[in-house]
Amino acid sequence: MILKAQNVAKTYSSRDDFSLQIDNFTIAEGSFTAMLGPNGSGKSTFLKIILDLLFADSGDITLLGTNHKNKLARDKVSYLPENFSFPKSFTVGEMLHAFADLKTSPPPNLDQCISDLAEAFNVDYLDKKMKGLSKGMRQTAALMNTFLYDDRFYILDEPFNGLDAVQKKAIMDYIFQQQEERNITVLITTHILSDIDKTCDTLHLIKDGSIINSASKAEIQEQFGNVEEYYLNHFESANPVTS
Amino acid sequence: MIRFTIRTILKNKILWAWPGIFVLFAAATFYWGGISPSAEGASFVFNFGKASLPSGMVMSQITSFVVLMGIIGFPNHFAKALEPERASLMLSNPISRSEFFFSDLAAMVTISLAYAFLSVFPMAILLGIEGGIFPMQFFLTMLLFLPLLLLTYYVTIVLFLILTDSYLAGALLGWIVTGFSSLFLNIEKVLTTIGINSETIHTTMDVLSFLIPSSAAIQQVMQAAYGGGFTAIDGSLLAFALATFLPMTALSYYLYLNKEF
Repeated sequence: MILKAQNVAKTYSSRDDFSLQIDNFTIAEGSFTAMLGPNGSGKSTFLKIILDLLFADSGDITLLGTNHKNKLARDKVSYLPENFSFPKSFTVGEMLHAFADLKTSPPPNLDQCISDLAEAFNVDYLDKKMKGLSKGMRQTAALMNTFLYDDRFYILDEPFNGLDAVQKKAIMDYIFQQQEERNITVLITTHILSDIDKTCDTLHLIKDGSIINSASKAEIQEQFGNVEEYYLNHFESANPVTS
Repeated sequence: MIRFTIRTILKNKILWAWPGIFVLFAAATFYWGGISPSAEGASFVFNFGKASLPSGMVMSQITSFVVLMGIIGFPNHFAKALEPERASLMLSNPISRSEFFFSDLAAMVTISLAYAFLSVFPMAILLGIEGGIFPMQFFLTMLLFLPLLLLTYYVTIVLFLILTDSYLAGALLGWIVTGFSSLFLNIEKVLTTIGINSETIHTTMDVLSFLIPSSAAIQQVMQAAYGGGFTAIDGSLLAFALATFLPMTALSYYLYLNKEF
């Protein structure tokens, strides 16, 4: 099991008493899991709790077999936050080198890895400064930083923000290739339902801090046809059909 | 981790003004001034026109510029690292908060030492060519105490950065609060002058003087060392200065460990 979270609770008194309550959440190795929900439903909060960036009031989380508070739990984990800020005066190449210093064992052939990934992601601006990049270019650079290492678990919070269709396809193709070759595990949150229609094995719907429904891709296709119908059924309908 | 922080700090152009000041000063002295041995016990004096200025006096003026550069330049990367957008990128890696915190202090000291070394270089050329001297203890004072002086400000600034989440507020409050250390260093005199003899107030002030990193004590030690070498250093004053680092460092560390991003 890559991730196991039990009875995780967190309450924010400053956010209109918003509380997150995840009773049981697991992710199996090699799976592609999506977490869907409206803005402010607690998706990012839960991801940050997993990575010990936010502290849960209670609960147990095991990440790659280790308590998530132990730094070793994050040894083979890559995270792309929804909002990120890289040093603006760095070029893309410098940024990738600098962040490689934060890894326990960065690839010995880092330059080669960067140039391979740049080719896969259609990046020809490694020498451009971060401050001069467009939103889509910055997002791609951040995705490069996420996928530069041979990690086992990738946590992606709204990874396709600002990307055009061509770029999105190039990155999705790369992720699929990595899943086939290295059996990586992906946990993704997104608002663009079409992005995950064909890709996810399992989907979790989260609302007001709680998971209200979970379903496999097969169940969704059988019962709703596609992810969008599944989503709308739970968030638009007064009496949703449960899978 | 320390390499990451060093890379980030080195990108800060403001800090390059620190060795820049020394290069400009050395060049200005070379063209318009001179160096000669001091008649009053100081290691040497700077001559500008008819004015002869003791090395300690000149260096303390340059040091205040260096402190200004340090206060503006050094906290920048820590302030950025406290923003959730940057912190979540960094701390989602296999590094602990303790590692981040102490690596940051270590990187700050390392860069300070490097810039202090770069500052010694033009001074050594100036003193060698112009005065025919190589005052080793003068250079060592620069190398050892300039980083230490900046660290006194930095430790306080880090605390206020964590408390306020603002670069400007952190840098300003850190500078102001550390500036109070000069008041505490002479607190006995100050209290006596204004006629306060209460034992309780004296004791309270003594305790408070240990809670703020004493930049004033380091500056006094530096001035003494510039003038009379290492033998002129008051050991108890230096020990006091080093002890004052601990409370704010410990408090900043505790707050950082418990900060959410």
